[in-house]
Amino acid sequence: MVNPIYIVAILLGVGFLLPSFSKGGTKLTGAIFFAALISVCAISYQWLTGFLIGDQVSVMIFTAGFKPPISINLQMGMFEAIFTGSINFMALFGAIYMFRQMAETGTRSFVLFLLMVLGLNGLVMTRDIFNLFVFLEITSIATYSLIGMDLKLKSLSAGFKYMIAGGIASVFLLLGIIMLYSVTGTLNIDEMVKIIPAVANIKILTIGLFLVLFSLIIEMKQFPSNGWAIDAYEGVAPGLTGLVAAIGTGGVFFAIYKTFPMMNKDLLSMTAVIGMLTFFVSNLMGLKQKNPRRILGYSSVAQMGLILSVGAWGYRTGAADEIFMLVLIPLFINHFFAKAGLFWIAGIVKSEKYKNWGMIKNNKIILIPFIILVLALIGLPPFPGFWGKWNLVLFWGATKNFTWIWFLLAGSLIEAVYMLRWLGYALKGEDTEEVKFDMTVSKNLAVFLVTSLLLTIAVYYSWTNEAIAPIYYLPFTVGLALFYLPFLPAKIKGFISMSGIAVYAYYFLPDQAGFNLFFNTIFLGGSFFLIIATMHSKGKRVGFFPLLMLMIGSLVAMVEAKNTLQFFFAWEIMTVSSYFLIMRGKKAQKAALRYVIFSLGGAFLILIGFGYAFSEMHHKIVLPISLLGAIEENKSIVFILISIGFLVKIAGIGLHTWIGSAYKKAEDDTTAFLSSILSKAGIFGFVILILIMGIPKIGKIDIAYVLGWIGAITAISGTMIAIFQEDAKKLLAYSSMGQVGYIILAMATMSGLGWTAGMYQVVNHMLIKGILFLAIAGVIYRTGTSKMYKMGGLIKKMPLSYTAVMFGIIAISGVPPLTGFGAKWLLYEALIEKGWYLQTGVAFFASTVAFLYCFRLIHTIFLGQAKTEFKDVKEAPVWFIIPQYIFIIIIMAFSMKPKLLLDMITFAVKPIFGESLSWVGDTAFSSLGYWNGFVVMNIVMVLFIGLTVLLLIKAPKVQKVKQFNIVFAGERPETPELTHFAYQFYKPYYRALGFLVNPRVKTFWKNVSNSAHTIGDSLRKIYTGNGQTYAFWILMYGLILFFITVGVK
Amino acid sequence: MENFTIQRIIYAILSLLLIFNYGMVLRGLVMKIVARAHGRFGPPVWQPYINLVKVFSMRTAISHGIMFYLGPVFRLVGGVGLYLFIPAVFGSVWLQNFSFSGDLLLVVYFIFFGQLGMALGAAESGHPYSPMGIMRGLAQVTVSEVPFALAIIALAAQYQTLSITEIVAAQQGGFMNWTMITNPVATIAGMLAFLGMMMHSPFDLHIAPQEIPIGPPTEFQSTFLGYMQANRAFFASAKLVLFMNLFFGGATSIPEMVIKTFLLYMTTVLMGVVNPRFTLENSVRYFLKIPTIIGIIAVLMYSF
Amino acid sequence: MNITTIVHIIGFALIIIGFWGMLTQKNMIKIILGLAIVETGVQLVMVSFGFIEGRTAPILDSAVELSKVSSLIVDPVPQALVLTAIVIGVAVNALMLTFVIRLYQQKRSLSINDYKELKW
Repeated sequence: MVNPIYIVAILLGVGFLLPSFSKGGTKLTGAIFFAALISVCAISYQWLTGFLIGDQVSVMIFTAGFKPPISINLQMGMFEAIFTGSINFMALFGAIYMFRQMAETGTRSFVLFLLMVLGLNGLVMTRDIFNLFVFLEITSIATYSLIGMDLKLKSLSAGFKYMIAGGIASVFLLLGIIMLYSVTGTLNIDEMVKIIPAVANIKILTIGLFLVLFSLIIEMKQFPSNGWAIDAYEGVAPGLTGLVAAIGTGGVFFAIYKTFPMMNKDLLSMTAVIGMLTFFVSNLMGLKQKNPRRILGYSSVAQMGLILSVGAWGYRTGAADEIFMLVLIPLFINHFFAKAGLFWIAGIVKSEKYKNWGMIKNNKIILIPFIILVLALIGLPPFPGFWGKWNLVLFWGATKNFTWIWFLLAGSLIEAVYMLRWLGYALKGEDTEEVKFDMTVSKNLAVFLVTSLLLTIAVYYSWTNEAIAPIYYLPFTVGLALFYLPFLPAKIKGFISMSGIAVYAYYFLPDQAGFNLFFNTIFLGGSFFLIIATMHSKGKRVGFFPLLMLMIGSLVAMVEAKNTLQFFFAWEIMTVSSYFLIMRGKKAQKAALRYVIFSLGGAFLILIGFGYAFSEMHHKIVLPISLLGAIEENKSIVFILISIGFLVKIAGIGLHTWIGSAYKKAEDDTTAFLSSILSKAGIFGFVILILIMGIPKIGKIDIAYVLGWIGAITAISGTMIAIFQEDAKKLLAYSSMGQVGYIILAMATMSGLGWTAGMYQVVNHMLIKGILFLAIAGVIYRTGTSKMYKMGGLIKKMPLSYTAVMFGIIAISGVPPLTGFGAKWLLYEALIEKGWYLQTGVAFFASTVAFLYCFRLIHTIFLGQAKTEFKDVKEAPVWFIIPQYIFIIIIMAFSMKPKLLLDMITFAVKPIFGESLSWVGDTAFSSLGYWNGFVVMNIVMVLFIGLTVLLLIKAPKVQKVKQFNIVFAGERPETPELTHFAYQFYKPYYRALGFLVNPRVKTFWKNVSNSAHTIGDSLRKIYTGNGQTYAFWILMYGLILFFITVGVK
Repeated sequence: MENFTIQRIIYAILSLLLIFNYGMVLRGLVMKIVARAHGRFGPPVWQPYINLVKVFSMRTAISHGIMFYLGPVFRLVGGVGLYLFIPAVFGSVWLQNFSFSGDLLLVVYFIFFGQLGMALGAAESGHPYSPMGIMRGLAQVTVSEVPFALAIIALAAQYQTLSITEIVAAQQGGFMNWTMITNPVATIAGMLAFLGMMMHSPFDLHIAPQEIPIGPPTEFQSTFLGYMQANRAFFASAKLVLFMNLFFGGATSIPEMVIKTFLLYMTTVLMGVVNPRFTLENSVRYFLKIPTIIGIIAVLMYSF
Repeated sequence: MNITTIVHIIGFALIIIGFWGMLTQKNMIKIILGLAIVETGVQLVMVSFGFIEGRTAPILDSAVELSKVSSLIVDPVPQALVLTAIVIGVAVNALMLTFVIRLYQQKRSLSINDYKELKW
C-alpha cells in the first residue's frame, strides 16, 4: 500500500511546482495536472480495493516523526478510503469536464483545482482539529478562487456571498477550537473524545462543542443559513458547482462526522433535527423552482440535510458504524454521482428554464444519462439511494422513530415531484430553438463516466444483496436483451417478448400453487396475448418492448416475492416501468407525472407500513412477508398504510384522479396492459396482505367493513364518472376503476364466496378490458381520434371490432349468458350472505349505471350515422383483432362452462376459506341461490338461433337503404354531424345527478398541491439574494440554537 | 336439479303459448279500458292479434344493417327467456318453466338482455330519436332499479334465499303470509319501482309519442315490429308474474295468476291514465328520493 | 480583574462590533472590514486562552531554563494557532477585496443591495 501521505504530497508538490512549467504551455501543465490526479486516484483505488475486497485494516499515519498529540496524524480506514476515493475519482471526472474552461484560464486554475482536492483529502484524513480548520480554509480559498475565475457577474456575486458565510463559519470554528483546547489541552480529535467525558460539565466545553458544530452546520449548508449556497449552485459555472455539490459537501460532511463522537446527545439530536428540517423544507422550496441549476441546488441542500441528519442520528443511538455502512454510504454515493452528473448535464444544456429542456429528447447522449441520474436521485431501485432509504426506514422502524420515516418519505416524494416534472419536460417538452447544447467531448465524457460508475455501483449493490434472488434479474435480462436490439422491427421484438413469457411460464408456473399460480397465470397469460396487439406497428418501437418486459417481469417478480424487500423492489420497478410506458404517449407528460407521483406516494406508504412492521420484528435486513402476520401492536396501522398503497394502484376512491388521464394519454395498446394487467397488481397486493395479516379491527371498527364501503363507493363513483366522458379511453378508464371497485368490495367480505366473486371478476375484467381497450385502440388507429362523438356508424367499416365490443359490453354489464353475469351473481350472493345489504344496493346501482356507458361506448362509435370523413376507413389491423377474439373465445368457454373457471378459483380459495359453492352437475349452489350457466347459455342460444331462423324465413330479403333514409317527420337530414346523437349523450342525467361527479377529489388534491407550492414559495422568500440577509440568518440561527441547546441549562 | 327433457321442453312451449295469449288479451283489454277512461269506444279486445297479423303480413322489410336486423331477435329472446326463467304457477308441474337455471338474480339481469340487444339494433338505424329514446329509457331504468334492487335485497334478507320458488313457497297459507303483509316496506319500494318498469305515465318519456315518434322502435316495421309486439306480450306478462311471485304470494293456479297479474297491471295502467309525464330529470330525482329511501329503510330493517 | 479577562472582554466586544458592522453596513468593503474586526477579536480571545499569569513568551532562548521550560512559558499552541489564523484571515480578506473590485468593475456599485440577481 502506498502511504496516503503521498496523496497530500503529490497534490501539494505538483500544485506548487506547476507554475514553473507554465512556460511549456497549458498542454504540458495540463498533462502534469492530469498525471497528478490520476496518480492520486491510483492510490485511492489501491486503498479502496484493500478495504472492500481485501482485509486491509485501518492505519494511522504520523507526520514529523512524532506521535500525537505532539504532531498531526492522518487516518486511513474504510470510511476514509471510500470518501477520499470518491473525492479523487470525482475530481478526475470534474477535471475532465472542466478541462477546456480551465485550460483557457491557464495554469493558475490547475493549481487551484489541485489545492481544492488536497484540502478535501486532508479534511477527510486528518485527526487534528486545527489541521481540520486549515484544510477547510485551503479548500474554501481554492474554491472561492475557482468560482471567481470566470469573472462573470453571477459567479462573483455568488462567490462574495459564499465568502461572507464561509468567513463567519471559520470564525466560529476557530473560537470553538480554542475553547475545546483550553478545556482538553489537546487538538487531537481522538484524544479529545477520550478526555471530554471527564470534563463534560464545564460550560466552556459545551460552548466550544456547539461552536464547532454550528460552524460545520453552516458549511453543510443547512436551512435557513444556506441562502448563499443555493445562490452559488445557481450562479457559478456548473462544472465547478457539480464538484462542490459532490466532493465539497462530501469532505465537509466527513469533517463534521468526525466531530460527532465528541458531541453530547443534545447536540446530536439538534443536528439530526436540523438536518431533517433542511431535507424537508428544501425539497418543499424546490417545488417552485424553474431554473434547473437552482432545482439542483435545493435538491443538493436537501440531500446534505438528510445525510447530516442520519449521521447525527447514528451516533445519537450508538449504531454509528452500521448506519454509516448501510445508510450513509449508499445515500452519499447516490447523491455524490447523481448530483454532480446532473449539474454537469445542466452545464451542457444551456437553458435557464427547465421547460425548454424538450430539446434534449432527441439527443440520446444527454438524455439517457439524464434519465438514469434523475431516477437515481429520487432513490428508485436499483440505485444506491434506494438501498440507503430502505435501510434507513428499517433502522428507524426498528427503533420506533416513525415520525422520522414520515418526514423522510414526504420529503422524498416532494423531491420526486420536481425532479420528475423536470424529467417530463426533457422527455416530452416542446422543441425550442433557443436552447443550445455544448457538445464538447470532454464534458460528455465526464457525464458518461459518472453515469456508468453509478450504474456499476447500483448493479453491485443489487447483486450483493442476498435478499434479492436471481429471479429479480429476469425482467432486466429480457428487457436488456430487447434494449440492445433496437434495430429489429416491432413484430420480431414482440415475438421475442412472447417467447420470453412462454419460456418463463413453462419453467415457473408448474411449481406454483394457489393464488401465486392464479395471478401469475393472469399476468403472464394476459400479457402473452396482449403483446400480439403491440406488433401492429410497422416501425421499430424503440424502447417500448424493454419497458413492457420490465413491467411484466416485475409483476411476476412481485408474485414470487418472499420478503418485504423483494416485494417492494418489484413494486418500484413496476411503477417506474409503467411510468415510462405511459410517458411514451404523445401528450402524456402531465398524465404520467400525476400517475407516478400517486404511485410513488402509494409505494412510500407501503414502505412506511413496513417501517411500522419492523418495529416489532427487529429484523435487521429484511422481513419475510409471512412475518407481517405476527405483528401485534401496530397491526391496524401497518394494514391501513399498506392498503392505501395498493388502493392507489387500483384507483380507489379518493386516489383515483390519475387514472383518467394516465389511461387516456398512454399509447392505445399500452392502456390495455395498464387496465387488464397492471391494475391487478394492487389486487394481488391485497390478496397477500389479507391472507397474511387478516383484516384487523380498530376497537369496534372493522377495517374490512370500511374497505367494503371503499370498494362500493369506488364502484359507483367510477361508473358515474365514466358515463359523462366524451373520450372513449377515459370512459373505459373510469369503467376500470368501477369494475375493480367490485373486486375490493367482494374481497372485503372475507368469505369464500366473496373471494370467489373477487377472483372471478379479476379474470373477467382482465379479459373484457383487454378486448375493449384493444378494440378502441384499433378504432383510434384508423380514425385518429378517441373522441366518441367524432365517430359513428363504424359498424359497417369495422364489423369485427364492433362484434368484439358488443361481446365486451355484454360481459362487462353482467347480462346473462356471458361471464359478467357470473361475477355479479357471485358478488351479490356473497354480499347478501354477509348481510351487507346496503352495499349490495350500491353495487347494484353501479352495475345498472354501467349500462349507460356501455351503450354510449358502442353507440356513439359504431352505431348511428357514419361521418363522411371516415367513409374510407378499414377494419382495424389484424394484430388488434387476434387477441380480442382469443379473449372472446375464452369468455365464451367460461360462459358455457363456468365450472371451468370456478374450479380454478376454488383451487386457490378453498384452502383458506373452505368450500363456498356446491355443485350438482353444472348448477352452482351458494347458501342463498343457484345458477346453471350451462343451461342459461343453451336456452339463450336455442332461442336466439330459432328466432333468427324464423326471421330469416319470414323476411329473407330485406331492402337495404341509404344512410339518411330514415323516417324523420318529413324532414330530410343531410349532415351526419347533426343527425348522430352522441355529444353530451346523458345531458338530462347529468342535470339530475351531475352533482355527484363534481370533481371534489381532484379539487382536494389540487389544493394539496397548491398549498405545498405556496408554502414552498413563501419559505423561499427568506433567500432575498442579499448577502447581508444571509449573514443575518446565520447569526440569528446560531443564537437561537445556542439558547436552545446551551443557554437554557 | 332437473335438466332438459322432452317433456320439459313441451311443457315450456305450452307455458309460452299460454302466457303469449294472456299477454295479447291483456294488452287488448287495457287499450279498451284506457279508451273508456278517455271517453272513447276503443278497439276490440283482439286488436293486438290483428295488429300482429298485419305487421307480419307486410311484404317488404327495410333493414339498416345486420345489428338492426338482429335487434328484434335479441328483444324477443329477452322476453321469452325472461319468462322461461320464472316459475309461473307454484306447485304446477308444467308451469315451472326452466326456473332451475338460475335464481332471482338471473331473472333480474336477464331483463337487460333484450333491452340491450334491441337498443343496439335501434341505434344502427341511424335515426337520432332511437338513441335518444334509449338514453332516456336506460337512464330511467338505472334509477328505477335502485328501489327494486333494495326491495329484492330485503326479500333475500327476509327469506334467506334468492330462489323464486322458495320465496313463493314461503308465502303460502293465506294472504297474511304474503310479502305484501309480512314486509310492506319492501313491497312499497318494489311497487314504486314497478311503476317505472312498466312504461306507463308518468314514466314513459322514452317512448313518448308526442316529443319523438315512438323512441327506440322508430325505424322498425313489418316483421321486425311483429317480433317486438310479440315480445311485449311475453315481457310484460313475465314482469307481472315476477312481481306477483315476489310480493303477492305467487299463484297456485292459472286463474289465481290471471287475477293477480291483471290487478297488478291495472294499477300501473290507471296510474298512467291519471298522471302527466315526467321529464327524465324529474323521474330520476323522483326515484332516488322517496322510493329509494323506502328501499333503504326496507333493507336497514334487516341489517340490525 | 486579571489581564486574561480584560483581553477576553475586548476580544468578544470586537467580535460583536464586527458582526454589527457586517449586518448594518451596505458597503461591501465595510462588510469585509467588519469581518476583519471579528477576526481580530477572535485572535485576541485565542491568545488570551493560552496566556498564563506570570510566565514568559514561549521562545526557547537563554532566558528560559530548558529543564523547567514547561513551567516557565505560556502555552505555545494557541499562539501558533493564532499565527495560522491570521495568515488565513488575511488571505480570505484579500480575496474578498478582489471580488469586490471585480464586482465594482461590472456594476459600478459597492452596495451589497445591488447584487441580488440570484435569489429565492
